[in-house]
Amino acid sequence: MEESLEEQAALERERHLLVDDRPGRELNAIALAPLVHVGRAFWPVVAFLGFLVLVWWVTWGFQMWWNVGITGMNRVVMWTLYIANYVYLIGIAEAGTFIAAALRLLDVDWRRPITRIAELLTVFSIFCSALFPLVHLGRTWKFYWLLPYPNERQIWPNFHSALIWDLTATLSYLITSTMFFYVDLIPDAALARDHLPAGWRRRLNGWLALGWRGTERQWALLRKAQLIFSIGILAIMPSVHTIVSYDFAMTIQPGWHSTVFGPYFVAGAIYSGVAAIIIAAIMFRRTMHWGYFIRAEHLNGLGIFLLLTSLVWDYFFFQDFIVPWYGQIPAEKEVLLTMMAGRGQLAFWLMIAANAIVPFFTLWWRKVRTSPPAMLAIALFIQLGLLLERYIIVTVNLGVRHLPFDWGAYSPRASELLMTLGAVAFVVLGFVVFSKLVPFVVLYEIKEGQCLVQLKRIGKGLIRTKIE
Amino acid sequence: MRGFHDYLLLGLFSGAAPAAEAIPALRRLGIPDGRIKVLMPYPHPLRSFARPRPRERLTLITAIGAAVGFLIGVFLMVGTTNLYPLDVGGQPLVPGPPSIVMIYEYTLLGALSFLFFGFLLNIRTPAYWRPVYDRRLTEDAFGLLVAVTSRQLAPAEAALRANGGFGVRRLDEAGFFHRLRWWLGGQVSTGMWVGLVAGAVLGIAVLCAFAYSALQWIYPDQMVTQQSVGHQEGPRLTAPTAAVPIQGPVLIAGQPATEPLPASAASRERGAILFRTHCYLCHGNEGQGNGPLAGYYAPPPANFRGPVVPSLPPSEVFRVITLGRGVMPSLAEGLTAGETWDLVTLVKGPLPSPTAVP
Repeated sequence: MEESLEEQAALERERHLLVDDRPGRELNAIALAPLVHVGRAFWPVVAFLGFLVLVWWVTWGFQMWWNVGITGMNRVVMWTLYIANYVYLIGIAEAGTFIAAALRLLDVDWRRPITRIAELLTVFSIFCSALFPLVHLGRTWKFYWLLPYPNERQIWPNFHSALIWDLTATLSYLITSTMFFYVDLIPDAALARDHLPAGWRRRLNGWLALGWRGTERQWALLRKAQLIFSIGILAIMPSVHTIVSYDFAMTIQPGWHSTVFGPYFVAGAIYSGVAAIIIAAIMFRRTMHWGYFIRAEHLNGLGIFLLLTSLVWDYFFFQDFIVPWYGQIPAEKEVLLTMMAGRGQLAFWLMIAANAIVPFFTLWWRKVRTSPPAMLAIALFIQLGLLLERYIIVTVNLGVRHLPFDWGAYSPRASELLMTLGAVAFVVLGFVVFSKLVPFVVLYEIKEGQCLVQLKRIGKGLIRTKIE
Repeated sequence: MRGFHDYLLLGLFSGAAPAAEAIPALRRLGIPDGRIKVLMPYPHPLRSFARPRPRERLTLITAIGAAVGFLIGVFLMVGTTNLYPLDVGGQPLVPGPPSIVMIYEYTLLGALSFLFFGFLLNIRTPAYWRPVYDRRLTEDAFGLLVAVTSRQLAPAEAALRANGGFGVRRLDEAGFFHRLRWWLGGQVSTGMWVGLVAGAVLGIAVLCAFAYSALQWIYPDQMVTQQSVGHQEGPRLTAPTAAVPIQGPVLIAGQPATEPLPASAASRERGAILFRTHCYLCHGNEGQGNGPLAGYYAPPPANFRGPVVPSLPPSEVFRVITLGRGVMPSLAEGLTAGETWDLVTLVKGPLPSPTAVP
């Protein structure tokens, strides 16, 4: 196999973003094109998603008026699909920034075009997930009673309650991940300010850029801030999802009262987040014609990461399963039976297929990992599996209490299903709308990477080398 | 730019290398490092420019933020619980291990919030007024921004051009009035003012909405329109004419319960099955009040063979199963009226044999 150096160079450029150097002007044009050009499908899609979101808000208003009796909640299964949605969406949200932070700290090169997608996924889905406990409240407008604020009666929340920890953790993550997203955005907003045609988008990006000029001092501070933020996010993310799992594990409900619930939830969160990033990356590649930024190597990297998180999830799931199964404590056994052979069996086996079997038997092959349709299908199936996992944990499990007279069944009603649909539409709509507002790729990281990674001739071949 | 200067010069360079070459030339003119800024389109390794490392204190700021967050956490966990003592079932007033969870969160929140605002202040933003700037700085061009006196102006400009600087621009009278113009709104559009006013109105509206205790804002609720009936208050209303009659626990004060089912063998058989799910755990196999969980309750579960239960009328047993009594919960949710009567026949008749429960 003797290829000329030109052929080798062309092949490497086609495969790897970081050696496919283009002039800054051209890179800016590719990155900013989606902000300026509105495709034919854009307004119909926005209208459709906006309608679904409107359905959510109207349904919510309807539920506030008639109260939670219109849902499938009952005294036994009093946490339902709303809480499952909350856990699911916060899982996706936490993974987004976490992955951006972890890959940046590890200096993984395929992160560069994906970082902002991950961060935005976090911002939208955590906002959406933070709404679901409020949807779940009977009197939504009293939600601020949960906050520790000074009031004239000197009443403070009860900090013994896992629900207060939960609120604190969710809000902390909402605030910190939004700040993280914004810090990363500033130089790209400056870029959009400089190169968008005059108009409101340019003015918006001008405000967002805060007068960024890119002085050496500003860049040095940005790198330092990103470093500390990444470490902070790595510290806060596992704690947040562990606290979400405490909502369940701190009860003595059989099936929930488990010491492995924290890491099990964290594993599920990262798993669903990676799958969601894959979906978003593939959609962006297709709709924004971003074949230049998002290439097979990035899907491949994400695919390997997905396989890894899938195996980690399998491990924790098995831990959470085997211990009560072996222990045969009657109530715990009944929970497992209800899941595997009772009311939850369809959801349970679908979840096993989606989360463990399908990824395991497909993602080992590079051909699958680099094929956008295959990855999209697998990632969507995993999303379904993880939503079902939360659904089973919350509703099926809660129907089996310690004493048999206290058992109950739950099935979602229209209000829950419509709001779930609206929530998914909200996250997608956030992406679609924001894609017209700010650059969706961390362009300065790509330019930096293209500066650092170069092709070097060693012997007969061209080798990619990275300058440190 | 600190210190006295008359002019700002901006030189653009096609890459990092020519920009780095120009810096020693400027130094030779007597321009100190503090009057030179390197502008970069992406974070290029700083070693290329052989410049003093930018001073930053972000780690210190983050540490201060962490300390503030920690103290807030401690205040909420220890302080507020003493401000408003909330006795939770014999637990200590200050939550012990849970405090670790909360203080951890507040510490991180404080650290990262301080980092964020410290970062924004330290990069000297917001600074919408840009003295000299060029759009090519976010493409490929590297820039040197130099503050010079009138004497240094010509040689500095020549030094920039000699080292490959193109598009050298200069700004006279850098200073206060340009800054003021921005603050007075010279570059602020009507849209921004509309946005600011709308935001302020919305903010006040949100504040009002939550300041219920101050404003006594009337929320729409259904408490005034709905009919108010006390617990188990009679008289029983007649059903609407088109209503379908249902079997159910009908326990209106002063009126008889529903018609009992006949105590047939089939009814007793159904009752025995229900007994295992709903009664056995507390009342025991033979209804003697000695089930596996009986020891957890005071007073202990009723003994169906004791003196009290056999003397109760069936309708009273029905009422206790349906509504609960003392520590016994209401079972109305899991049982239809027919099933309740099946249990009543079982409790009132001979109880199941010890083999009924495995």
